[in-house]
Amino acid sequence: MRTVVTLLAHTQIESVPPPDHPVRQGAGTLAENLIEYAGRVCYRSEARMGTQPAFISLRVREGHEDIIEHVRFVFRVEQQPLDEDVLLLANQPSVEYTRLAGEQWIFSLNARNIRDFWRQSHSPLARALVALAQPVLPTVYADIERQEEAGS
Amino acid sequence: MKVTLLGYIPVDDLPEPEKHGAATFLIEGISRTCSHQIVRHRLASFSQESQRYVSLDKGGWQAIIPPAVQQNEAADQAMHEMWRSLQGAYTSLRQAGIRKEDARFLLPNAAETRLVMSMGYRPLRHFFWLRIDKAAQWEVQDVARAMLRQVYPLAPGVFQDIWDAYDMAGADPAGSGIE
Repeated sequence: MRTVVTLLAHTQIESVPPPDHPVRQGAGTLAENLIEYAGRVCYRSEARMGTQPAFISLRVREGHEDIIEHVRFVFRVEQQPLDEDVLLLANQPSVEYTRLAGEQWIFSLNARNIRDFWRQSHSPLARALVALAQPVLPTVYADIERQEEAGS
Repeated sequence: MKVTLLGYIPVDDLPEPEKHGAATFLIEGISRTCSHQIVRHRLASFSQESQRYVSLDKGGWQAIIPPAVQQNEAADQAMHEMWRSLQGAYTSLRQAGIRKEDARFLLPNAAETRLVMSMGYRPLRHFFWLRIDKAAQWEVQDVARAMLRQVYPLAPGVFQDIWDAYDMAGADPAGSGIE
């Protein structure tokens, strides 16, 4: 089975919020700053943006995972022959897909979907999604990376 | 009320942009009445300011007063009196050692809230059809119009029919104009 996954797009905040908006004041990647900001709106603690490197991983560990849903990814997936993991991914909640010719799919899903899918299926497809999303959101996938390294 | 577009998925090179496009908004200065309507759109992601962890004092104890109340002196006075007395009651409960999660049982729908919302373009289209319509509540209409104004330039092809149907080009950007 051959699986090729390409990251086509993800939620970007470079051009839209005003330059002085607190969403830009985090210490992580831009996408991570959006997640930290969403979390801090819940606690009205935006003034502390960027002061706690573990903020996102602590929220994820306590199960406050709605905050990571605000970052979405769009991938192109090519798989031959088609495996059931593609169908499993297509049936995750809030995953959208377009089927193209030649066993090619476009999938869009949020950062939480990728974590959930990886937990359900340690397939090459799940690992590829994590590997491509990881540079965009290093703190969101750090625990999965550690488990992958420990297991391999 | 203030809406700020925080992020979006660029759809220029994607097939079916309605499916794969998405945008993230910060919505501030709305009532709990308005946020209740927004979060009923379930194909979305929400992070809302917590009344369990955040005292309303932290945001300045703000109430959203409907324009119809503001314009009616007797009603306006009654609402302000109630709001002030609630602040006193909330403070008394807190001073008596009651946790925020229980003291908040006093808070009415007028209490100000904020939330971050992410929604795909397809459910967003449904949201606009429903909430910009003149049958919608004045407050959520203003929110929906402000959202459409900011997301339309990112994907005009996706939202053009709604933009035209609600005459957004000719509408007053300041608000719904409902009195």
